[in-house]
Formats: sequence, structure tokens, C-alpha cells
Amino acid sequence: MTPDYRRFLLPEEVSRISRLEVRARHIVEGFLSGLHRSPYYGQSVEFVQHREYVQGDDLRRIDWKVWSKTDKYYIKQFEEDTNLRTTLVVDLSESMLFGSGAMTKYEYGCTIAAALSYLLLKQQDAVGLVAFDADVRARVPARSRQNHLYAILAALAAEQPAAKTDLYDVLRLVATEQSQRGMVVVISDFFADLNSLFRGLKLLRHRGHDVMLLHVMDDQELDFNYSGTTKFEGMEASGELVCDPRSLRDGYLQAVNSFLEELRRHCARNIVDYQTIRTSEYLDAALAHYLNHRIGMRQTIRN
Amino acid sequence: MTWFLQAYQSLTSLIAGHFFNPAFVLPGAALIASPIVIHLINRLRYRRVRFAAMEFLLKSQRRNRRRVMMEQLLLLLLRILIVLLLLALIARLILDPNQLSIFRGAAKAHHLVLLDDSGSMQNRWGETSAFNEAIAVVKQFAAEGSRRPDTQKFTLLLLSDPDQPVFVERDVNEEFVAELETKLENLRRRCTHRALDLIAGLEAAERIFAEQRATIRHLHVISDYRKIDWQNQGALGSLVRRLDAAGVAVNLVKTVPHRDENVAISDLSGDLQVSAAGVPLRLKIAVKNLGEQVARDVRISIVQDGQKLPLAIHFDKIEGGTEVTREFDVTFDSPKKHKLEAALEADSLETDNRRFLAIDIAETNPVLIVDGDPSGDEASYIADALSAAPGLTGITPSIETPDYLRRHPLDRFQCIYMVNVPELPEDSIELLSDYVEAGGGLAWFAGDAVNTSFYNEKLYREGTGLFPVPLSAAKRQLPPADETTPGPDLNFASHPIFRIFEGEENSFVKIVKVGTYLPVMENWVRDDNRRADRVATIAVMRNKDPLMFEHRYGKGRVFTSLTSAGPMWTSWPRNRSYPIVQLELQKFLARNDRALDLRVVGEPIDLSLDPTVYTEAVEIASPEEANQGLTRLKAAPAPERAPEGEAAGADAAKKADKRPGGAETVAPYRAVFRETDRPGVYTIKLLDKDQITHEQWVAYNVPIKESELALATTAELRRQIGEDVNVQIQEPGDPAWIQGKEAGQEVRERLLILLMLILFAEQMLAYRLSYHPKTAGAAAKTAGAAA
Repeated sequence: MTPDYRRFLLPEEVSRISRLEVRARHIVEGFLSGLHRSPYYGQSVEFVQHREYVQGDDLRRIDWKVWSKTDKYYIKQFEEDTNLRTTLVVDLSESMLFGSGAMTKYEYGCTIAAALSYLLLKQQDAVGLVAFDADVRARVPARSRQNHLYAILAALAAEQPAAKTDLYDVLRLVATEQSQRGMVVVISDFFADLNSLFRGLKLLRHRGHDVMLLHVMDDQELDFNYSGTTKFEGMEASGELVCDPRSLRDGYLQAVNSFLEELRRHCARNIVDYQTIRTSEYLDAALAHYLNHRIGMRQTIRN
Repeated sequence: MTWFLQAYQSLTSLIAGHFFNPAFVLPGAALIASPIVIHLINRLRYRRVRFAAMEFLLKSQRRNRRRVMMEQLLLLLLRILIVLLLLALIARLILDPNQLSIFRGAAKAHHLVLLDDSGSMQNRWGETSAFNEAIAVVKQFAAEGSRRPDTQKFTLLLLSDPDQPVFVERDVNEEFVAELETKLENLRRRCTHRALDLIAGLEAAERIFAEQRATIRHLHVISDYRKIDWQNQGALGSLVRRLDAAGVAVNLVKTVPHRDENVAISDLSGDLQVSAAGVPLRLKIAVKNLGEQVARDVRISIVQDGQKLPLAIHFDKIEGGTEVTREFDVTFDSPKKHKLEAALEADSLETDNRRFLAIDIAETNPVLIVDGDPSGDEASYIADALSAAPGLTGITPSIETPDYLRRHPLDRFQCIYMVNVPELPEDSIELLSDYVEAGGGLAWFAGDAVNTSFYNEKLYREGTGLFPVPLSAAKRQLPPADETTPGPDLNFASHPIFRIFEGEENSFVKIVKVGTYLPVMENWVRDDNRRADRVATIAVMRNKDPLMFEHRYGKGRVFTSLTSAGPMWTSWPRNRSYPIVQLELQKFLARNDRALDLRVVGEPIDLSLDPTVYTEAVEIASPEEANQGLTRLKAAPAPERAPEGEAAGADAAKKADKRPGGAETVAPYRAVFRETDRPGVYTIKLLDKDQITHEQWVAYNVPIKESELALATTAELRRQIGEDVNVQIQEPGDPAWIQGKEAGQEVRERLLILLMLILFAEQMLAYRLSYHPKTAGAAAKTAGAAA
């Protein structure tokens, strides 16, 4: 591991997040036994229900004790565990280079990706990576090998943000490529056309993927604490403006909040996990909080 | 270019008229640019930030552009306003140019100072006095004026002589101030003792101002503003209003901060006309406490001709605002002029602590009794009553026949008694009339011999003569007392002559018996009020017939009794109340035209000399130590027509012409001496043709009015003048008005309040327009909530 890509996963962070686990909200289709619930009934210790025998059922699953009491054939059904195939979709557009604090959004997003990869690989899940701006910039296929982490880190480090963001194409690509149901984690600032994002998300959900949006925002973008006359030069060729930021702050915050609100509402409607993360927050704390409090994780998933 | 200069000049004069410190105004106005410049600099200096969320920023900018601009403009405006207000405060904006310091007006101004030097200004307290304070104010005033030399004109009037200004329209500069100070130092000792009329002073000021309508005119009245001068003085108020209406800025300057206690001798008098050598003279002294508190242990010493008399007049206490009187006897041994002085202990107003009296003590007081019936002894009863023993009363009565009247001069008699005189020849009546007109006293007593028709015709003369009433033809007997007409024979009115009969149940009244009298004509109206002539009925019989009368004739007094002087018709002369009444009657009648003058300081001594008797040389000695106060005057022939105020002098001249011996009509010489400001006795020495010196003494005293030290409050002054009249009233000991420190006080306060409000508004707006990070705790909480 070269120092270059090591910067996204520092040992102290690793030690702090190592006890976390990434759990799929929805049923995912893996090829190994793992932490995640599989759509299939299989061999496991977790009994689910009895069902009357119908022709074609496996005779080995008939519960003979029930037969002895009722003279009817019932079969026992058990939960099957599976492993998870996760695709990390990381935004590498120019706007991600913005950062007023210690880290840019790009660095922070990559760190999240690295941390998640580490966690998933640790729990034997497969992790893949798609880095994108206007187009897909890099792709790492999903593997569950431990040393697959390096491949992901290397891919992140190699990519320098430059161009604009376009989400729909990227998400459609991810949807088509991932035939099996798995988890898609999008790490971006989402400064793009929201409609294209929503269309992409809809597609992913349609394919049965468990989608998670990690919205990385800088403090200044959320709080807009600028003062004094300032010339703002827009990234991604979005124009420039000389103004007294204090006088525009309220309007700006209003616009940002309505943007975030729209995003949040859409995600909630489509059962997409959404989380805004400030680059100033400690990654481990943010991640721990997020992973432990994902909405709906406590409910049963089988209908 | 010319119009620009004109505009600039009018602008500077406008600024000078409305600002105390006009020099600050124009540079200050340039400071208005500072908020704008700061604003522009802030727009030019900016930092660059590469920003990702431009979309939102641009959206905000699109939405808020108009509002932001308005807010910025408002803020800029407020900041400019703050600069303007600060400028107005520093340059001291004054809305009313009249309020501006009297010396800072734009144009040349004329200041007329009217300095009150009346007696009450001598009020002392601590190390200073009202007059000293006033002089200090004038000095300070001139000194302040000289800081802008030759821009102001100054006139100083003294209230004691408003027609003779001390300075007239002098340019105020260093040289003048030095001259003024010298003059004021001299004036310091020259505060008068007189009661002066502010109205005269104001009118003089008005006359001076009337001649110069163009300039800015200020009138400063520096006075002590006593209540007595300002109470119900409608004329004073209207005069001030008139001055104000004429465009004169009236400024009333008070010099006395508080009212002092004051005790004054308000009167020292007596029946001086009956004084005679060796006979005790009863004098009356009145002491008035003009303060508010009780004056305790007031002692008065009496000094006669420079010698303190062993008399102790002592009042334990005198309530505030009250007057107490005390009578005491003084005996003068020698028949000459005497000076008497009563003195109090020192208090805040020195001048009224002494009172003077000049008395010409006669050897005796001759009285003429004309007895119409040589065989009778009626007259001797009067003579005995007036002078029981020689030297006892100082009266020398002489009993003569009616013929005496035409043969001897009557002037030397103090009064003449006409006892039972049947008739008088024409010339005697005329001489008698002249005598009474000139001030002599006359008493009529009836008797058997009286020819009533003669009295009615020649003496009564339809109410114009020497006799007061018309008489009936025959005498009448008083019927004895019975149930229908009870009571004593006589009822006396309250009159000085009958002082002895005053009071209820007076035993003296009962024993006075009157048997016979001459009744007045039936058609003569008895009621004094209805008749309303000069005659007063002072004693009435039991049957309501009037018996005794008193009336004035010329300067003299006439007493009439319709009963006899002796026991012919009445038992009274044998009664012990008779001599007392006769002595009182003599006091009442005694001619007082020769009593020495009692005058109030300031009245001029106006001498009218008969050039056939006196030389022109007149010497007047003022009541000052040594011979410093000696003034020599030279009498000069009087002008053809004597001015109105000096009619008395003219009268005297007429008299002199008429005198026997003064046959040739020579105009009298006049000498007027006006320096009679000091209280005391003035000695006038006249030299006659035989080089014999004649002395006249005149006592001058301070007017009691000036002893009233109660002060008029500012509110009272305003009420007198009128609330709506623009008059400045300056409180004592506060010279701020001279420097104009007080000017624009209300404006300044309002400006300060406005400035505070605007500063507050600016802060509020600036706070609203700017971003303020929340406190650490609150920020953490918000972050937590967001997460």
C-alpha cells in the first residue's frame, strides 16, 4: 500500500471503525453465507415457520415430529444467510475539490469509500467501485478478497477530480452491470441535475438494490460563514459573483436547505438511505452514527 | 464667479448664524463623504473564493438583489446621518439665532446694558453685594465681547440717570474694556440709595434703540429683581413686550441668588412743630422686619448731634413682615437746629439701618388768642390750658384784641384762636386767610358776641371761607338728658384732637357738659358723606346737632367749636380733660410749613432765593465726614417760566414779591442741588446781603420700599411680561449666557437623543444585515440536530 492511497484509510481510523458492520437493508443476493439476509430459505440455525408439504418439496425437510402428532406432512423452513455485493459509487467531479477545512469533499468521500470497503471486506462481503464525473472514470469489480481493498484504494487515489457531474448515466451503468441484488453506496455532493439523480436512483431501486446516498458537504456550503466582500468563482464553470456574503447568506441557506430537503424527501419516498455528512465531522463518528441508526434496520424484511 | 462668491458668503453667514462653532461646519460636512468612501473601498477590496455551491449563491443573489441594495443604501444613509448629527453636536447647532451667544451674531450688534443702582442693590451677603455682582457681570460681558474686537457696540445706562448714559455706542475692544473697568471701579462706590423706576430706564433704552432700527439690538437689564418692583407692574410688562415687539432682544439678568433677612427703621417722626427747648419732645420710631423670620433682640441707639443718648430702645422680637413702633421722649436743651439719628445693628442691607431727623427747636412756640370780648375771660382758659406755667409746654400764648390782626405780622404764630369774636374788618379777614392758606392754624370758638349773619356772609361765604358752616340766628340750649335722648352731651368722632376720649365707656366723655351752643342752619346737610365738602364734623351734641368741625383752608387747618372756649356756655373748661384736648388741638393746628424737611434720597434741593435778601452764594454740606461733601453753588435767575415740577419754588417766589418791602418784582434766584443720594442731614448755608449766614437743614432718608428684599421668581417675571414674549431670564451667578454656553441646550439634548436612536437603529440594521456565528454550545446543538 503506497502512502498515496493509504491517506484514505489511516490506521487510527481503521482501528476506530473496525467494530462496525455494514448491513444491507434489503434482501441481497450473495453467493456466500454471510451477515446478510438472503431471499432464499436454506440451511441455517434460524427457524422461520412450518408449511404444509406440497409436491416437489424436499422430503428431507419434512418435520416428522409434527407428522407423528397430526398425521400431516409439514416441512420446516429456515433463514438462509448470504453475503453482500456492494458497489461504491464515488463522485470525482471538480466540485468535490472544494474544502474549507482540513479535507476537501473529495478526500472525505474517498475516506468514506475506503472505510466502507474495509468494513465490508472484513465481514466477507464483496466490494466494487465506480468512480465518475461526467462519465465513469474508473471501475473496480466487486470481490470479497481481503486484498481487494488495495485495488479500491489505488483506484481512488489515481483519480483526480476535474469535470462536471452527471449521475444518471453512471447509475444506469451500475444498474445494468449489477444483475444480482446488492448494495449501492453513492458518495457525492450531488451538485448536479437532481432529476437525473432521481431517475438513476429509481432505476437502482427498481432493480432491487439497497441504495445508500452519502451526501458530503463542506461546512461553508452548509453554513456559509463568509464575511467581507468576496468574489466567488464557481467550480464546474458555474459563473462568478462579487458580493457581500452576509447579505446573501439567508437566501443562500434557504436555497441549500430546500435542495437538501428535496433530496431527503425523495430518498425517503423511495426507501433510499440518505445522509448528509459534513467534512468537518470525524469520519468514524459519522459512519458509526449512520450505520447504527439506519432507518428500518430493526424491522423484518420477509413478507 | 460672482454668484458663486455671493452664494458662498450667504452660506457662511447662514452657518455663522446657526452654529456656535461655525469653523467646524464646512470641514465637518466633508466628513459626510467618509461613509461613502469606506463603502466604496470595501467594494473594491475583496478576496477570492473558489466555491462549489454557486448555484445556490446565484439564486440567492437573484432573489435578494433589490433588498440588499435598499438595505445597503439605508445603512449608508444612517451612517451619513450619524456623521451629520455628530457634526451638528460638535459645531453646536442652534436653531434660533437669537439664542446664539450675544457676541456671535453674524452682523454688528448693539448691546445696551441697563444697570440697576437702586438702594436694594446694596444688599450685601458674604464678601459681595448685589451691585458688585452686577458690576462683575458687566465686566465679564465686556471682556467676552472684546474677544471679537470692534464687532459690537456697547451702551451703559445707570438706572439712577437713564438719560445720561455712561457710555454711548462704544466699540467693544481691549481699550474700551480697560476704560470700562476703571469706570466700573468708580461706580462700585456709587450705588445709590434711591428707589428707582425701571420703567424710566426701559423707556430711555427704548428711545436709544428707536434711533437705530437697522442693527441687531440687545437690551440687558442687570438688576436684583425685587418682588415689590415687579408685582402687578402691568406697565413694566407691557414695556418689555413693546421692546420685544420692536425687535429688541431683551435679556433680564438677575444678580441676587437669595432673599436676605432685613430689619429696617421705617419711621422716625413726632410732632416736631410743637417742639421747644427744654420741653420733652415725643418721637415715634417704627421698626419693620422685612424678612421672613423672627428678628430677635433688636436694639436701637439714638444719636443726637453726634452724641449717643442714654436711651435704650429694645425689641425682644419682631415677627417677620410686621412693623412695631415705640414712642420715646427727647429733650433738646438749646433752641437751635438739632440732628437726630436712630441706628440699628448691621444686617444685610446697611442703608436702612439708620434714619435721620433734623429738628429746629424753637425757644418757644408763640400762639395768638384773639378775644372778641375784652371784658370776658374766655381766652384765659385757653392760655392757661396751653401754658399753665412758663416753660412747661414750650408754648407762649398771647391774648390780644381783634385789632392786633391788622397791626402785627401773624407769621410768627403757630396758630391763632378766635374766641368769641363778633366781627372782623375786611383786611383782617384777608390777612387771616393768607395766614391760614400759608399753613397757619386757626380755631374758632363761639360765644355771646358772635354776629352770626356776619359769620355767614363774610366768613362762611357759601362754603369757601374760613368758617365751615352757616349758623342759625340764635344760640340754643341743649335740653337736659332724658329717655328719648340718653347718653353724654357730646359724641366725639375718632380724631387726633380727641384722642383722650377714645375707647368704650370713657369716663372723660361723661363729665363734659355743654349747655348752650350756636346751631348750624337747618338746611345745612348734616351728613358729611352726603355733603362731601372739605368740612368734617368731629363732635356732635346729644340731640344730633353738630358742634365741632375741622376743615382745611389752603395749607392750613381750621378747627371750629360752636360752643364757648371758656365756661360761658359749657362746663368743659373746668374739666381736667380740657387742657389735654387744648394741647392736642394746638399740636393739630400748629403750622407745619416751617417744620424741617423730611425727604427721600434723590429729591433735589431746589432753592428759590429772593435776590433782594440773599446773595448768590449757596453752600451745601452733604452728610459726609469732614468737609468733603461741601458744595458751593451759585444761584442764578430762574427762567421765565418755571418747569412744572418746580411749581413750589415758583409759588414761593410769588410770595416773596408780595411781601412788604419787596415791592420791586425781581425774579427769584434758583439753585438746584441734585447730589442728595446719601441719607443724612444736609446743611444749606445762605448768605444774605448783610453777610449773615442763614442755615437750613434737610434730613434725607432712604425709601422703605428699597428695603423689601423679597425676590421675584423667574415664573413671576414671566407672568408679568407674558409667557409668549421672547425674553431671556438669566439666573444669578450663572455667566453662561455671556458665552452662549446655554444656547441651543434643548436642541443639543434632542440631537443627542436622535443620535442615540440612529446609532441604535444603525447597529440594529447592521446586526440584521450581518452574520453572527452562534455560541459554541448552540452551534454544537444545531450540529447534533442536523446529524
